[in-house]
Amino acid sequence: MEEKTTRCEEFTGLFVVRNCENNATIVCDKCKKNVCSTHAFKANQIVNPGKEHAVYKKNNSILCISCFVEFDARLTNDIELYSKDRSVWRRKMIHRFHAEYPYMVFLAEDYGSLFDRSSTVFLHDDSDEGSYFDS
Amino acid sequence: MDRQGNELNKEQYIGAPIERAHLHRGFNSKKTPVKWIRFFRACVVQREIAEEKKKKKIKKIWFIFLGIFIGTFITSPLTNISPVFKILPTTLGMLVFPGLIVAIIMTYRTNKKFKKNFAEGFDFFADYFSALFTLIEEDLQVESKIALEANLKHTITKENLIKNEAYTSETSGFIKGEEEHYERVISKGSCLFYDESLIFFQFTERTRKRIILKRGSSGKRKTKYKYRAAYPFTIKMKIPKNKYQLNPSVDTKEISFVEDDAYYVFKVSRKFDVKKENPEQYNPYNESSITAFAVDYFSLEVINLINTCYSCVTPSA
Ligand SMILES: [Zn+2]
Ligand SMILES: [Zn+2]
Repeated sequence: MEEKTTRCEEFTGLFVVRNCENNATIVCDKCKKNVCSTHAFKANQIVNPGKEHAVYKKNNSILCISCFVEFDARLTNDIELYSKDRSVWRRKMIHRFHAEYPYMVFLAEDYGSLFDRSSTVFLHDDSDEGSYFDS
Repeated sequence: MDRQGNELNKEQYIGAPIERAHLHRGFNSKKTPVKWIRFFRACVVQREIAEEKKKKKIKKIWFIFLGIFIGTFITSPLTNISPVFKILPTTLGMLVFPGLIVAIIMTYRTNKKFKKNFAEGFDFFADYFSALFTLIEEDLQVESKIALEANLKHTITKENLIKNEAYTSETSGFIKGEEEHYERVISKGSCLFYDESLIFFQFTERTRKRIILKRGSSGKRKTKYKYRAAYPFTIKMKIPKNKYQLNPSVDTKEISFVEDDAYYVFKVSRKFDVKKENPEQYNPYNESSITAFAVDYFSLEVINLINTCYSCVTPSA
């Protein structure tokens, strides 16, 4: 019998939002979403979970990033950016950005192969752009 | 999940070549966002370690001096026991004055050496750009690097002087005045987004220094220095025509727009100005006011510039 691989059901990106391309290895204990290890977080790391969420912490549950961010009461200032928690910080900031700014977002799946990463080989050369700001 | 909540510890920074970034008051490199964030953290931590060491050294210097000073008094009653002991307070007493001079010189030297090796104001830079790079991290092409050039030198120096002009005021006691305008590009760089849009950014400090010669209420002449700084952050964004269509209405008051064969090119700017945005925090006697902006606020405002450019286009279906 062939084992079927499941894609991670989380997303990445701020402006061009697209599905995570990793294979799912873990199921979120709360929402039952399949997620990859990048998008999975240990509930026992949650600082000050609310009453209703303490059970996940107690059970050492694994949560998807969406559920983790929902429970995690830390302020963005208290999150160390050189760590895996950087993605938690990013989620929190994206939520704020959505709330505070009129926001443009392009969902990659709405546009088929338009945002296909492998579509073109692109050379990023900024050497001739130095003078742009001189004015 | 292994790295969750991890923090780099101090040991990981000792002996790293980061010090050069401070020594040269700037750097120019291409790194992935994670590597930049690590580099910024390393710079900050290295400075902290060096500062701790410096403080300890200065403490030690003054502790020794204090020992000599107090020793002079403590040992003087010993003279009553035997005149032989007189040598102690006398010697120590003779050392007090030269000791004070040596302590002052050593403190000055230690501080100077630290200042020479480590740039001031790196913390705000590290915080702002770590936040910014984290926000755009997932929008970059995989393993794509951000080019960044930073200049952490002081803004108020001869080479940054743009112009100076006379300044007059009606306030009482005013004798004469002058205004000097300085400009320093704190940093500039570029990166490539997932959708093949190109982002160029530039962050500048513009400072006006006002020098006022006036007569005080007592009649004495005195010179006053006042500062006003603003921080324009400019984003130029090249959005590929093969992926996006231009929206019919682009607000050219806020956004400068041109196009070439392959790209729509937008340029937007956001000037961070404490006096305008948060007057209570403005202090005219401080040269720099950049630290008055919260990291969250700064990074979201900059992200909004990219957002503004994207609002001019729609993906081609
Ligand atoms: Zn979940
Ligand atoms: Zn994932």
